[in-house]
Amino acid sequence: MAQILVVDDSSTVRTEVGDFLKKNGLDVALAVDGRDGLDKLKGDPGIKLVVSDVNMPNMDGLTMAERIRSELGNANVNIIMLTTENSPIMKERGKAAGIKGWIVKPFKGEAVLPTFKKLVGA
Amino acid sequence: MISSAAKEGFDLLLTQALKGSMVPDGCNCDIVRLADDTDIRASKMTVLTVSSYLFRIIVMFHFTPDAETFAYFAGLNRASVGEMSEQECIDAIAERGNLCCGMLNRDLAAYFPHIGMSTPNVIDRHCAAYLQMLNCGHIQHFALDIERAPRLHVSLCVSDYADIDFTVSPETMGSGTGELELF
Repeated sequence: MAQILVVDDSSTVRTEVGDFLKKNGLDVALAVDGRDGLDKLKGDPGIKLVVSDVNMPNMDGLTMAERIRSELGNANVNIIMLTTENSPIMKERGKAAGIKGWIVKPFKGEAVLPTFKKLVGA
Repeated sequence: MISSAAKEGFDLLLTQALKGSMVPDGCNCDIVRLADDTDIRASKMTVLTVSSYLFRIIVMFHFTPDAETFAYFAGLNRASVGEMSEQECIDAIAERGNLCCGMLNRDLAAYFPHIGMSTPNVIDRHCAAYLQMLNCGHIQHFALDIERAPRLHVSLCVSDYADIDFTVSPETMGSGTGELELF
C-alpha cells in the first residue's frame, strides 16, 4: 500500500521524485499518465497524496484531478501538480478541481518534503 | 516581421533558460551564437514548441546518443549512466529540454499572456532540412561549452504570424521554481 502516487510521463521525473521520496521513508507508487494514475488510485485506497505532471499523453493531469473528484468520488486525496507550466488559467482550473498546490519544475525535494509528510500523516 | 529587439529578446530568454536547465549547479557555461549550423553534426534532436497566436517557437536540442552525452545528462539528474537504459537516457535529455522550454515559456508569458508549450519529441537530425518550409523569421544556432561536458548545440527558430516587437526586461526573467504554492 502506497502513501504517495507520482504521475509523470517522463521516466526521469518519476525516478527522481520517486527515489527521493522513498529515501525519505515514504511509500511510493508510480503512474505514466493520467489514465494510469486513475487506475492506480482506484486500486490503492491507502494513497493520501497524488503528485502529478500536467501535460501528459492519453490523459493530462488536470483532467485526472477532475475525474478523481467526480468519477471516483474521492474528495479526500490531496493532489499537487508538479509541472513546467505556470499559467494562471491552468492554476484556476486546478483550484476548481480541488487541487491542493502547485510546484513549478524543477523538483526540489528538500523544500517540499515536510509538507508532503504532513499531507500523508507521516 | 520580428523586430531586432524581439530577436535579441528570444535569444536572451533562451540563453538564460539553457543556463538554468542544462548546467549543473556551480559549473561554468559559455554560450556562443553560431553563424550557421555547419558545425552541428549530432544525429538526433529533442524538439519542443512554444506557441502563441502571434508566433511559434521551435527549439531543437541536438544530441548524439553516445556514452559521453548519456553520462552528462545522467549526471545532471544525479543518476549513473550504468543504471539507465538507452531509452531512459534519451528521456533524461528530453526532460532537460522540457525544463528549458518551461523556463522560456514562463518568461515569455510576461509579454505574451496567451502562450503554451508542447511536450518533447525526439526526431532525426535530417528533419532539420525541412525547417525552411516553416518560413521562420528568426533562426539562431547556439553552442554550449560546459565544464566536463561534450559541446552541446541548440537551435532556435521563430515562425511569426504578425509583427512582433518586445524588449526583454531583466525583472521578468527567472521566476522562482521548485517551491510549493499551496491553495
